[in-house]
Amino acid sequence: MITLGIESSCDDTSVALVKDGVEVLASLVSSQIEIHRRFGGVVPEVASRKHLEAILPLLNEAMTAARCEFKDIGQIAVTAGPGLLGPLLIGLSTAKALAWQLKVPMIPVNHIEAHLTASFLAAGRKPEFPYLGLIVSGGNSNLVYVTGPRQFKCLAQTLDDAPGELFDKVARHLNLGYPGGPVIQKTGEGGDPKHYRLPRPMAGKGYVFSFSGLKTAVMRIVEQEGDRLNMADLCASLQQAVADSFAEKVEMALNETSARRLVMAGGVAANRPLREKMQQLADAHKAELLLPTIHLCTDNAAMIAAHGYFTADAAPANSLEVNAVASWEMGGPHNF
Amino acid sequence: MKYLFIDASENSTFAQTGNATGFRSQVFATDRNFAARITNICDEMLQNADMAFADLDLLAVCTGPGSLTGLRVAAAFLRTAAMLANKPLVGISIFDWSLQTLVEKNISGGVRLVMPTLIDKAFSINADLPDLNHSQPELIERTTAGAMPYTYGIRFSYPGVTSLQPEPTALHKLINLGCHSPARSLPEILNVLPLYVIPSQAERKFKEAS
Repeated sequence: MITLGIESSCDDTSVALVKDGVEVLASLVSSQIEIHRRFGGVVPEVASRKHLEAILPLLNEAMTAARCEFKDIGQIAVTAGPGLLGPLLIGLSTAKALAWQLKVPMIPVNHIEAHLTASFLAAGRKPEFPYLGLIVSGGNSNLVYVTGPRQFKCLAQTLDDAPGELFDKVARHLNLGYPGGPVIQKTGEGGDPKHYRLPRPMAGKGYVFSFSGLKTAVMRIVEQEGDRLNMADLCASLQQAVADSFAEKVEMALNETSARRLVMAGGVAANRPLREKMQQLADAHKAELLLPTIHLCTDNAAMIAAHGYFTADAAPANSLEVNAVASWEMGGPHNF
Repeated sequence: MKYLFIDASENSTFAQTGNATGFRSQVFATDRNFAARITNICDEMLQNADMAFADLDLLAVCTGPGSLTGLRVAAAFLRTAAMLANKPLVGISIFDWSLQTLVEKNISGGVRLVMPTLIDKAFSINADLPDLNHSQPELIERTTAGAMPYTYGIRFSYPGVTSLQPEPTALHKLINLGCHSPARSLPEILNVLPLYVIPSQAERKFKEAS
């Protein structure tokens, strides 16, 4: 069965066609990153406007790229939350019109859950349970124990900033550009990750993350070092601190649960030092690590289509009456 | 001509169907749930008019001014439906609809229409009826709305301003007059958008800074 996926929860408009939940026929993304760069972050009103402009041309391009016709589509999967409300509504309204016209089911998808499915999709596999999921992005920092489709036990989340948010704020402070993750990784290449002593927030304090203290610590170093500041070392040290913070909690979970499969997802899962750290950890615990490809790390509709396919049974019968919501807990009920 | 029109510019949603013999309109108390109810609203309107979607000759959507979120939801939905079903789509502005309402009331000559937006501002246009062509909307202070004669406030009461409610009869006439050529190809459909977009605070700040 071919699932058409639609994603518009933030600043990327994306449309994808996925066969049987594992084979990506087409996955296209129209990024607004250049538009929002000048504002130093995503402006919801501008994002809504741009989603509306982009979505239909992108839909047609995706259909052509997948060599599909609308009659071939078996169901529509769409991000219904969490995310920015205005942008979400553009994707949801488009999906509703498609489902209404094509007379096929519409599956409202939780964007964060779908990020985890992306790692299985990258391997061309269906989700296998149980597994530990680590979602790291601009708005999320969650460690979950996953026992089945839409069945999550939250182990840890952040008290304040998400890692992507941390990277964005630090990059802005250092005048490195936007988005922060990629520029901090690039600047940190070849840098000494042990040069600057940065804290490992919440180390030894159980299942909880915190990153705002790291931002403060970086700012203090910048002030103290002045002209002596080694930017490459600072960025490398920051990434190491983030990777170590996640590794400590993930290791706890590997020790305390029966899961021998670790899935990392979200935009920050593209961060190389973090990927390397998680690989070391998985190897040490004889666990399998599943990582999304770089394309599937960032917001994309292929993961929405795949997750919709594997959670279709859990979708409500009256799903066309679902609304978009800014907040939606993983595994939580659909929103009417 | 059989048509379906949706106006989601306000908290409540206005919908209308029409054909050669008349029209049927309904207001839905959607509040913030318009996106949740959009398919039901369309189904209900078509069912009450004893029409099937396939029977429609035209889809019509309100292009504002008004709630940009609601207008975009309606536009996203009807643009997609128009593209899939190969139906023509026309955008109807509330200014045109209101001017036609005045024409139906046999009002002619120079008029000014104001419609509130933001907290203290209003859009203002001028026209010379029965010609429906009007000036480009400009943003004025709401307190100056009543400063000129022959000013009509769209869904708006203010001292010195005559309150005006755009009427279903005028909408039916406007759609049947065919003043606006409907969008048929994808590039044309993409131009059916909320028209009166005020730049966001971030854009205004950026413009000021640069």
